[in-house]
Amino acid sequence: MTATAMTLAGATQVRDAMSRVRVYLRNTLVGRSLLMAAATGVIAALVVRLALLLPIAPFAPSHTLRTLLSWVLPVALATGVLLWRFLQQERVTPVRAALWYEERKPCAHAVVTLIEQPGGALSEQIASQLARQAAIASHDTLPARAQLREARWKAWRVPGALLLVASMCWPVVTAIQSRALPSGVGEAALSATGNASRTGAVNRLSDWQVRVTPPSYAGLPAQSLSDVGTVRALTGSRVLVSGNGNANGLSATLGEQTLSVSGNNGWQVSVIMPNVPSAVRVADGAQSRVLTLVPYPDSLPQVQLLAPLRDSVYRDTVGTATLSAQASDDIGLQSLAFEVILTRASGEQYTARTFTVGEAALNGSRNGGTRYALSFAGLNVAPGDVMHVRAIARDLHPFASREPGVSETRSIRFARADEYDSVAVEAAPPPVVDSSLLSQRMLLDLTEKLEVRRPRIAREVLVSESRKLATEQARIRRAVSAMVFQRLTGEGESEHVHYEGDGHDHGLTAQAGKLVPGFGGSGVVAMPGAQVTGASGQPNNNATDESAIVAINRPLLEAYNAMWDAGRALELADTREAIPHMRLALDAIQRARAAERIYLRGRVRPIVVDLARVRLAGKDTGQDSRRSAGEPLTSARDMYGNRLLRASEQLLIDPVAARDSLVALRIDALADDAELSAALEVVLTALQAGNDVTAPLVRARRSLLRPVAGQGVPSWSVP
Amino acid sequence: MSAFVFATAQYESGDWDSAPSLAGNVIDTIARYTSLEVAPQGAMVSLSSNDALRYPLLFLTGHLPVRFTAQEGRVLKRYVERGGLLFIDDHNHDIDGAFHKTATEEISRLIGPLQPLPNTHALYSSFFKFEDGPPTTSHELNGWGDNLVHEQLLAVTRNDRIGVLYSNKDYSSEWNFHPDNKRFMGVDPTRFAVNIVVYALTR
Amino acid sequence: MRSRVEWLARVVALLALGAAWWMWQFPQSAARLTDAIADSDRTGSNASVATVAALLRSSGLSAVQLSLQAVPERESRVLLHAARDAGWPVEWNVKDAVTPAATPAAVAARVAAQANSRFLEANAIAVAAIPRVHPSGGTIIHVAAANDVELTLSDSLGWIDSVRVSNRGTYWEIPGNARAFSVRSPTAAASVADVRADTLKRIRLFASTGWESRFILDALESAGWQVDANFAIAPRVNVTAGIPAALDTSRYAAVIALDSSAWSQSASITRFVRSGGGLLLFPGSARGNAFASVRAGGVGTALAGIPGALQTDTPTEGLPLSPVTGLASDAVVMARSEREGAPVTIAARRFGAGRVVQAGFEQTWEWRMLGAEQSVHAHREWWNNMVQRVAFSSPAPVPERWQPLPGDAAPLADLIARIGGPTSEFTAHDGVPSPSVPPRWLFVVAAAALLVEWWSRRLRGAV
Repeated sequence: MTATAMTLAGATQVRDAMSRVRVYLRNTLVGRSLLMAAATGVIAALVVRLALLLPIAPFAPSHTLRTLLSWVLPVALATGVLLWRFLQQERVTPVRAALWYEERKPCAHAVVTLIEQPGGALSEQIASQLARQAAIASHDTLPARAQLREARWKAWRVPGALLLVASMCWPVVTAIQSRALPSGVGEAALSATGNASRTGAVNRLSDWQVRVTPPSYAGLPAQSLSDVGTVRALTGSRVLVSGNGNANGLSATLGEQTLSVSGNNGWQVSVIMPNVPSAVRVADGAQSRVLTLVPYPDSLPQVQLLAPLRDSVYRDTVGTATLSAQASDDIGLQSLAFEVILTRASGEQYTARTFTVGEAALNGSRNGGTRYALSFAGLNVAPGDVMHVRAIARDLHPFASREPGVSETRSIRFARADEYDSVAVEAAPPPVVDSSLLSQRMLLDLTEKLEVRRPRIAREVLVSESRKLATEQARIRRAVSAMVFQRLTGEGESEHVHYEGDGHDHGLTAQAGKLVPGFGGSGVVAMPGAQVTGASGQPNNNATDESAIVAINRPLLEAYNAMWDAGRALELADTREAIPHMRLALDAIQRARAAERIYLRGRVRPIVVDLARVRLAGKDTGQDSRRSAGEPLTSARDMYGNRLLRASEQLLIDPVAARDSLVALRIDALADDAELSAALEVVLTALQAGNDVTAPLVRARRSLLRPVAGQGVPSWSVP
Repeated sequence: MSAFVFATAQYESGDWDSAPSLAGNVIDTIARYTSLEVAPQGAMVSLSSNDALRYPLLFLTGHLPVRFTAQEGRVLKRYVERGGLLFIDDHNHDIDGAFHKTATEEISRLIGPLQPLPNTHALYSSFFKFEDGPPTTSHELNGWGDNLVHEQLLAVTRNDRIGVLYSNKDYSSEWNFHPDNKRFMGVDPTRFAVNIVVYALTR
Repeated sequence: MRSRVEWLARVVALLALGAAWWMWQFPQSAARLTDAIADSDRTGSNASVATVAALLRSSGLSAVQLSLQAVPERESRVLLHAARDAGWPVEWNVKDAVTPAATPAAVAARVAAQANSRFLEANAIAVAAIPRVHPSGGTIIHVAAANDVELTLSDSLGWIDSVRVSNRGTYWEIPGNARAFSVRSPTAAASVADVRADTLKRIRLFASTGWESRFILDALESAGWQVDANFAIAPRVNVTAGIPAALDTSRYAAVIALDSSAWSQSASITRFVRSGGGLLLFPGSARGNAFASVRAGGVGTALAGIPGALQTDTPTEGLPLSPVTGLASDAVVMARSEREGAPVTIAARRFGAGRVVQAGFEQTWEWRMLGAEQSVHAHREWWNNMVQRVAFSSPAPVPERWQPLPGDAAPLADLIARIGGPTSEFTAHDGVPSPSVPPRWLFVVAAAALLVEWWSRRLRGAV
């Protein structure tokens, strides 16, 4: 090969080699730019994330701003760096590549020339140089890879190291970020526990004092409580909450209502105890505290009408009825009186008059009573009138339209004259003779046993025991007579009126110790079934010809008279004679006990409808209708369960809101779920103290869930 | 299935059976217009007895003041809370009268305040259609008692259902006649009773 | 010289690779290894992981055969499972239980008995969760466990209840909408997840107008059910509740047939039940032949309610009762009266895909009106419960996370599931086609030789 040919061949090789060098260098620079851009982006992202964790901004950045700063900014910076690099750096031309090569291979200086000269005629000298270079080129097709690699390493090491370090810092920063709470949450968590704020300022809500002043009418002493979360007091009490520090910046609410907070040398809030459970919330910036108000109401007085003991029927419209009542109240009584409604009927017209008698001022005492003798004459009572009596007590509560406490009502009827010959009176309820029944039965049993023993005992013993039985019989007899006369006169003692001419005529007279019915002095009548002689002298077999009042007491009268006979026989130690009378008395008492309350005036025979005859005989027809579905009863328990669940989940996110939710839930549960309310009080106390609330929450939830457990696996899926 | 029994409440303080023919008349009306199983004779049950709870529809009337005893009050409260319907009618037709004043006071005290029942209530269309609400009575129109035509009935509701139905319109007088006399009437005045019974049995 | 070294290295590498291939293709003669594992006196462990792993590493091993004294731990079981999956036969039996005549079944029973007596009694529990078909939701958890085991029920939020088992099982009824539950004993745990109730459907009531139907409607509606019914008041006059439609399980959960008014619909009701719906029968409807094919039994002579019982804690004794008699062969007695003879008051049976509950009570409304305090609530809950017993519910899908292996909840079952049941006599495994792995050192030698050869060439600059 000629020198020229060799030159040209070597030149081509050199050009190719330089071309490869140029590409390598260009790629190196591109890589450097990319690394620098990437490192810039990652570092920018790390810086932004760290910055967002610090509360250096005067405002809390929104989610959009956070996204912009976290992602868009680093990407923009990286892109900017990349563009800048591309614009800044010079193109790697073949000459520049040759120059680079020449810097490192001084003997290759002619390569630059060779590259510059595209070809053409060359001088001998240059040709020889070129030939030498070509020889070098034939041996070194390219500069040593090591040099190129070294160049690349130098170009890439700094940005690469930066990128590597930044990447290694990424998980660290992410870990820091995940552990850091947003500043608001941190503050809220502290304030929810009532602890001092991070700024170290004085906590104005800790150690507050609560003073409870009951309403003046209650006359109860005021109470002072320290640092409590719940206050229980009478409805209407004044609750004063006070604490340290001035009132500036404090706010207070009671439900929806805003309360004023006042004071310079100590703040205070005043509220009246409402009639439903509620909560006062006092806030100091992000910090707040809740005071639960639990009212108990002023109960109505309890009133008992002692006399008359039961409903009565009077034959006469003159006389008096003794009224007696007693009352009690949890706070204090103001007055106690009797309310009387006197009703008069004429045909279908009914008129009524209401008035109050026997009022007694009780001056705030918790127990009291009153009595009054109600005179019928003063009321202008007429036969046929009906009087309803009840006792009314008012307590000290100042509310004018407050309901009074009332007793049961007793009715007093005044029988009309034309009712005397018809069984038209309201029978008395069964008398309270159960104890007499037992005693009379026991007495009969003892007498029968004595009769069995009579042949075997001495006469003195027989007389002694028989007289004891006689004494017991007399006691029971007096009890029965008291019952009879109670209805007639309203008085308990009766035996003194059993004598003619004593001025007391109750329709009964005494004959040989026994009680017999009489007709207003026209004559005496023996017991029912005996011959009755009317005014005409003719026998009157009308079984209803007797005092209507007596009719209701008939069994008791029979019992009384039989007891009289039995007692006389026992006094004479004649047990055999006494036993039949005692059995009669027992039977009569049983009949009196089984007496039913019946109202017979004007009783019409009940109508029995002939259904078969009238079935669907009506001319009109009805129409279809649709029944609206009943509303499901929302189980308070289910609602409470859902609310508790949400509040529990909220504790991890927003402790202050969760605490408020728990307070509201506790207030609602006070009315119908005392167990849950008590469990929530424990939760709130633990929250207030900054303790772990897991166990109290589990117990609260347990009180709601109340699972039903059973033993064994049931044979049906639903037990 | 047991038959429906029309029951009248017996209470201590007043003339509870002032309308003795009403029960038979209502039973007759039910049989005339419906195919419901009904007992041919009414029952009287004491309000002081738990037996009152066996009759988820009770009728109460009178002229005299109404003052429930403690036991009657307990039974009444339980009765309404458990789903019974107490239908009360003022036999005086007098809002100034003793029955109305005392009965409304007792109901308010024991169960709750009586509120006017809208004339569009389902009661007025449960069987017959009463466009204008409760039908008037001859006593009302003749100026008896308080000389007023009462346009609405009063009621205490529980869970959107009538627990106590109170009338000032004197249906006790209007319906207190032997059912055989209906043949002389052009319009049967007792039809509203069917609505009350059907409402009680289906709502 | 260098080239000779390189040549030598190539030869060594080739020889090593050849030897490995040879050993792979032509395994050594099988050696059966029977080892008394779990001899706690000697090894102090129970088929421990180390022991099993040592077995697996032993050269020439062709099978794993164990004589167990107790069920191995979980890690050991997993290793044995892996060994079997890798192709090695894994056999086991109970130590001292092998006799020539012993059958696998007898050995299995012996193992099971031994295992149970040691620790499985305290370990084994089984849990099933049934979502309540109830307007307010809830779940019924059934647990089978041995007696005297203390069980604790929890959900995702924490502990709910604890109970000591006394009748080989227990059950809980839990309100609320929790979906996942776990039951633990001191030594075992079981859980159910994704308990989901079906969409609540309606109820169809067939009844005549009266107090009973009126109070049933009130009880079910106040509980949250939607009820469809038609009450005849007069010819061509009806009071309608809801929108009564054709009986279909897509619309209705259950039918209540209170009296003879249901007889005319008996065919459609029967079809409804057969396709999965629920049916509640009472004496008025169960009498006669209309529901003879579906009912749980006949209707006995009517008995009056026991006076005063409505006020007690067994109020149903105060209701009129027509007992369920002549029970079907597949009927289940759910409740009996306390009266003489203990007559059946509630019986149930399955019919097709559906369920039928037949009750003998009548006039249940008297319980609500005349019962003790809270009788309204009790009456409502009783009707709720009756409907739940039959209400149609779509079959629950099998959860994706279902695992076929019992795990530690049932260790013996887990062992058997992994490696099969016990064998009475170990099998010889000569020539088993389980490949024997060539020793590692051959590969080390080959690799080292290749490295030397390459390195040498590199240093020579021949590359």
